[in-house]
Amino acid sequence: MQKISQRMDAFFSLAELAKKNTPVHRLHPMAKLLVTLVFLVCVISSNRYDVGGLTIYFFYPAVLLALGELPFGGIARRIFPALPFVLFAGISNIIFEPALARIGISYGLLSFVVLLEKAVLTVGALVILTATTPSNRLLAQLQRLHVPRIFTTTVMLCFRYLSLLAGEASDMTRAYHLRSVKQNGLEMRHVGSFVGQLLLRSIDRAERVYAAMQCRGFDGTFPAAEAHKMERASICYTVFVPLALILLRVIGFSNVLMWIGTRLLGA
Amino acid sequence: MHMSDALISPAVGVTMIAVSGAALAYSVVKTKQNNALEDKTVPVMGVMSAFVFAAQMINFTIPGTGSSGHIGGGILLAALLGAYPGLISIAAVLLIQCLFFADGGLLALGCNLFNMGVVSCLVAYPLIFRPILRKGITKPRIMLASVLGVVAGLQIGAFSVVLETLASGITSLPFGSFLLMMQPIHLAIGLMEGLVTGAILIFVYQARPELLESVQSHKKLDRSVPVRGIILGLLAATILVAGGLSLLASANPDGLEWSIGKVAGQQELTASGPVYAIAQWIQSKTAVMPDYSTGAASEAASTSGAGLIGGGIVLVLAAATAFLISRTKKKNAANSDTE
Repeated sequence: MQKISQRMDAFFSLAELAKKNTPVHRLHPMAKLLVTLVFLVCVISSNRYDVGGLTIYFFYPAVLLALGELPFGGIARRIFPALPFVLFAGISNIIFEPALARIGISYGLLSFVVLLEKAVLTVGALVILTATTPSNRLLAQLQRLHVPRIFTTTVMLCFRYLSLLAGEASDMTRAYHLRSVKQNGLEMRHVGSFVGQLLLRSIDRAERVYAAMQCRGFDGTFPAAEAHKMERASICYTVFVPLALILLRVIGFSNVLMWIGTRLLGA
Repeated sequence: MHMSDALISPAVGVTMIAVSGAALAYSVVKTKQNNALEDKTVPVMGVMSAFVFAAQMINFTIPGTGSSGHIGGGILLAALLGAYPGLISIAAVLLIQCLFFADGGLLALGCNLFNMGVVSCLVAYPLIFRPILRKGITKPRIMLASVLGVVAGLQIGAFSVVLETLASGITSLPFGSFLLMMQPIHLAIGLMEGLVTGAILIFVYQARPELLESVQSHKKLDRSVPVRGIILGLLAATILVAGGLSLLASANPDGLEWSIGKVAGQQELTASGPVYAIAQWIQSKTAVMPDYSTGAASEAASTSGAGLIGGGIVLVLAAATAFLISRTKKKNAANSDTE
């Protein structure tokens, strides 16, 4: 019961963050979406042993967090739930790759650290994207990308009814818990009627929603979001940040580190 | 079962986005054909997606284990909406989960849609669920169809997770052990989920029989679905895209070979086994770079050490930059407040 409201609270707090007015929030949603995609590709295409090279990419979330005035702790808390499976894959690397690299650290450990870095960076980039962009403006970009209307409308409706139905589910669980004797959660033999009930209520709601939308002249399409042009700052952001990211990826930040390292230690 | 971006390689991600995207596009076309009333279908699909979302948040206790589970929803949506609208609904759920709940990832969306949507709506549903109910809807048949459908969907889905993870080259877990870990767990999960899905559908069937009957008696949809065609098409798309991408990847010699040499330095591997053989192959590749392979052993050691230390320093610098920016911003805000 607590879990549903907690998850929804996390969801609403993200929506609250997205309402801020900072340089990052003011960027065009399409610009942020494109840059995030380039960032993700750069990060996940990095070498699985390149611990040093990935560290430079931490500048991206660090700068965006600071410029976007996002709470560090709140963002970090959202990243943790994504880690367990990554940890599992990473730990198996430690076990199965014991061969030592030159510096006395096994390849397995290197790849474990890289996997963690990648997980934090990729999840972090997505969380930052949604914490700095109002959800309806972000989803409206789907329409601009010419994703079929049936799909975009489904997504937008799902998004709108999400909190309503989650609230309904939360109320039902609370009622169930209050009436159950042992108070140890929803029993499996009750799930059928419990979720079935929620389903029937949802379908009834869908019918009412449909009727109400018909009254307001709904023809299967959602009004397209304001065709809002990219201003200069967003164009610069879309051009220069990906350039920098790709350049770093191509040169390989490890090589830069290595070059500095040899100058400092070797000479 | 959501895969995150960190676990896949760009090639696998893009391939699966192409495959799942094609399946989704096909479903959109089919949904439009089968439902003249688009304006009615779409709100129902939207609310049903939101329902699956809410239902996934409801945890139930699994008897005898003390652990908890929740429903997946692929088969449930397909049973109530039909295969194609079901896939569109699942795709909406997965997109919102990845964007707003940090479940899965944007590049992994194709993988996740395939493992949890395409597999259950376009493979398990038409091949297992529907044929069982074709002879008529009864409660035992609904239960049987749900359990078998969900179990099959999860087994194929788990198998695809294994294949996608291994193809991405992220984990060194051997294929066999990975498979042995994934399949039995998902068999247990599938049985639970199947029982629950069956119970929900039976409840719905008792309360509103027409909901299930209208979808299941939709003969036209069934006849027009060349399942084999879809699977062959998906397969062809996978091979084409994967082939094209791997050609691109191999033409571009950076990445793996390069920075292993950088981070690890050149070293002689004495161990044997497939992983070491690969590492050795990489070593032989790096030896082509004359600048880095000729150095004395000690120099190589110190440079790779420098690489790691440098990486640590960069992290500290990134944090410091963030701190400086927020402090300047706060100062500016305070100044403008006092003015």
